[in-house]
Amino acid sequence: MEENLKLDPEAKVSPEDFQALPKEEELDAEKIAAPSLTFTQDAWRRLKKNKGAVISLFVIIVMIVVAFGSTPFINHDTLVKSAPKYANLPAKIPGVDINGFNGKLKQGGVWVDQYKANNIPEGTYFVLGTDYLGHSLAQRIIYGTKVSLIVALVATFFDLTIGVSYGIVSGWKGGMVDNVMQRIIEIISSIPSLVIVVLMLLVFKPGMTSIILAIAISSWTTMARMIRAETLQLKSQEYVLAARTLGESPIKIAMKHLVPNLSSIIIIQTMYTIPSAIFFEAFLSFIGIGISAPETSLGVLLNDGQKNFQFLPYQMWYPAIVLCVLMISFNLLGDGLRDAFDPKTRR
Amino acid sequence: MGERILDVKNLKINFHTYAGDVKAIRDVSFHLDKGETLAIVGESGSGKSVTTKSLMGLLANNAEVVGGSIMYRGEDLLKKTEKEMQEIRGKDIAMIFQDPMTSLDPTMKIGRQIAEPLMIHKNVDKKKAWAQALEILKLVGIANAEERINDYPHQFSGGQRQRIVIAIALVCYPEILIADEPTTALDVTIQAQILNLMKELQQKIETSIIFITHDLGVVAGMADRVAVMYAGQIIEYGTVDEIFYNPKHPYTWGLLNSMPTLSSTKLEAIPGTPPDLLDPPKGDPFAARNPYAMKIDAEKQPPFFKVSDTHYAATWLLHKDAPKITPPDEILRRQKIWQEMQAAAK
Amino acid sequence: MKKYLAKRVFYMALTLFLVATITFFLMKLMPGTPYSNQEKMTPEQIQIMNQQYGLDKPVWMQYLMYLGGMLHGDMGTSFQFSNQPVSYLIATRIGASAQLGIQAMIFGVFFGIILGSIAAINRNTWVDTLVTVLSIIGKSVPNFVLAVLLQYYIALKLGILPIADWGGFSYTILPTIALGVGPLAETARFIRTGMVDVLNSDYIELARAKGLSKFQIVYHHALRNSLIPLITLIGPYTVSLMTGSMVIENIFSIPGIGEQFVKSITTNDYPTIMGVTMLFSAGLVAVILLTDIIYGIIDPRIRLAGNED
Repeated sequence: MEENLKLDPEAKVSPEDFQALPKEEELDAEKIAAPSLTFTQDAWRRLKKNKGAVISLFVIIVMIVVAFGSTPFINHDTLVKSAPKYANLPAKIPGVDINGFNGKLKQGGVWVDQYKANNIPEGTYFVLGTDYLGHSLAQRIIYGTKVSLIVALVATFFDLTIGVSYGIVSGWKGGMVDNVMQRIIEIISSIPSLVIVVLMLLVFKPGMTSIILAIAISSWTTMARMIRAETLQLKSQEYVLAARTLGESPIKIAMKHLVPNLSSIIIIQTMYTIPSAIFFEAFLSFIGIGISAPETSLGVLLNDGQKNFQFLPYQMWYPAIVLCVLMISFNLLGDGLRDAFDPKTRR
Repeated sequence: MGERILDVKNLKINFHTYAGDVKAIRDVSFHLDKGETLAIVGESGSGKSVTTKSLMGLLANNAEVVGGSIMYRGEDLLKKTEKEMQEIRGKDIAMIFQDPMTSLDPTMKIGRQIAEPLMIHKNVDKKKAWAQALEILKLVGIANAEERINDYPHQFSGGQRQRIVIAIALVCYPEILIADEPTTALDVTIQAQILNLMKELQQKIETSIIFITHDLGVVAGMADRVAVMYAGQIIEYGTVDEIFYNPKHPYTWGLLNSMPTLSSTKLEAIPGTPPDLLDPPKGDPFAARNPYAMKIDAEKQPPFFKVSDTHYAATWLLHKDAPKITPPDEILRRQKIWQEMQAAAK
Repeated sequence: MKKYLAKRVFYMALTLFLVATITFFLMKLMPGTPYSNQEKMTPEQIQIMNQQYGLDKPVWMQYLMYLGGMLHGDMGTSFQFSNQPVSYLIATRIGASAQLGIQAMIFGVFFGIILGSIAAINRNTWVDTLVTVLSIIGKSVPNFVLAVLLQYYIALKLGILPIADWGGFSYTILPTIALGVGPLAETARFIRTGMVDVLNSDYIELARAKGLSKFQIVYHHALRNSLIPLITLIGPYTVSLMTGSMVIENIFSIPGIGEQFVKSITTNDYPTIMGVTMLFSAGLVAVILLTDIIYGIIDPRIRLAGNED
């Protein structure tokens, strides 16, 4: 293997080169290059890299601000007021002259200015058109979004309260208590949540209350299961054992040691509860057993729009787009958070 | 030694990462003769696994061979297509992995897993393949093989699973067997059994073995020749006696010094960590951890210096101008044994 | 295994009993009487009707009668829909719903597996991105929105497929797609994640070292290992199909259970609501039990764990 013997012919080696390396010239052998980050900082850094998640977060924030910020202008009173002469007007946005956004509607293959045909005074604009009672569709959609977000909030609330505490207690207590609590979850989750909703709707009258109650009963079981599994693991961790031997109270241990370590699961699972809650409300309202007139929601709007879809497609398209964007945003953000908090699944 | 069956020359492999190119293998050359066992020794990250994966054409997607050649039967394996490599893998060159607990498909009967290479490479039908699988299963020492051939991996212990992995590797009687830390994940008592089995089968099947390990203790009884790797380069190679009793490179000294022996009272660790191969040092990569480092080590990479026909080491300490230094006590003790061995040979 | 099974069946029965009890008493809490044209009836007529339906007896007797009837498949008589027995109503409608549900499940799971595998094999390429984007959209767009769009653009505008109603296979295509897209997206995501894991595993590396081709690796080793966990999703899929059937059958005017259920809810037809509720619960419980058993049989690792139990 003489081929490996390749002394650089130009290299001149002088005897001085063989002096021992002075100490200060020695390279630092144990330098750590990467700066250290806390778990949350690291997760946030990873989330920021995920374009889809960042855009989704932005969209969700905008929707929340618009939906809740609009409350002084769009409320129950404005919802009830109908104006039949403005009924079924297509979108008209000031200064925009694109068919479909300038008050014109395609009828029998021809674009007809509905505002002129119905003698609507000049200067009246509905940026997303109106529905069959002459309500501004834009206002209704914003209100509907608010309803969806409230439902999401409620579902999150029950996930965080019932789900998390049920899971922690079940996992922490173990033994008989755990067994009974798990059987209860098993039973609740073998009843289709749809059935629970329907029963709630029959007992209370259709509306926000029944939907919220139905969600309260059915939404938290998955969270509770995941929290329990994780608590079981955490329980045997050294630092929890240490806290127990030092005589810390269970509540203190739960708040100081368990919840912070469960936080990533809690956040991720919440992000999956939200879209399914939003879907549930829209679904119920769509089939006419959820929220009903004069209240409105995205599901109600879709149901109204669906009836006239052939002739006034915009009445369904706009709420549909908003609902889909809302769902996609929460799903993307959920995926982004999962990848950010759980580097194992990141790929 | 027999004919030369594998010749790796000036192999260079980079990994593309988001931070830049990691130069994982930097100019590695070695060869393998028929029937011998070559041990490649080094700490994790030294590039020993990457080297062998390149022999199999199993490098990760972000790895790129930047230079060199791997000659096998007069052909360069690096120039072969994926399809051609598939025919060599498992048939001519086979591999055993580190962790037997995870290297078997949990949902497939082990008989099928052993028979699979036969069915694709030797074109034998299922019945014959299973018969041969049964034979090799007995050969690797699985008791009750007739029944156990229908079992799933979870029904076996770690040592048994490694025997099955060996059976899979040897079922086509490969010319070269690459064993990547085959005993690291096993209990010490099982380790010895597996090593004995490998030695025994090597003679029966007449295969050459490339044995990768970070554990010099395992090497002693196994290998004919040893190559020591550090930071993507081979820094010393020689026969097993030369490396154990007449080592020349300070890194090899460090490795031997950190290995427990009967006479050792204290184990010396090698201080520090290997260099970052994103930006390898321009001089001797071991300089920063080398207590005998000289000025030239920081500036120029040492070439290989010949110690004997079979023994080479890449350290400036072997240069004629280098000062005479005293190796650690443990090395002195070994060199004394070496001198006795030399004297006895005469 | 037998002990485990007996335990599971017991909990299954307990669940159904609880559902039956809860529904029954909730119905009893309901204000008003269930007759649709009560204003036109005289008190005597109402009395006769009550006797006919057993509503004159004390609540606990009604409850026992209800449970007793339930045991041999008698779910009472519908207050609406020309006073047919609920079991008859369900029997005439279950075929369409079952066909639709099974078709949607097969459609979703089959294409989901294909898309998910393709994405995993081509990880981090544009194919992977495309599948990921599509599955996010599929997961996010509510099935009823999709149904309306399909109905309008494919059936009405293009006229390729029937708009609604229940006739031959062609009538089932659009509702199947609308119902199956959710499971499809979920399956694709699930299979992709699972297969990426499997493809990174040591045994796939060993399979490559054996000299298997890419196709052989995926087909013989990766696919099987990533398919097994999919069984656990059959339960949730059943729920989503049951829920979806209510709205999809409505949109496409399919005479199925879901459509019946919505009608019953809007007309306060309590016996039918209770019947369908029981049917849905029983269906879900049975599916969950079945998937557990199948899982135990297919996955040898789990099978062993079951034996040790």
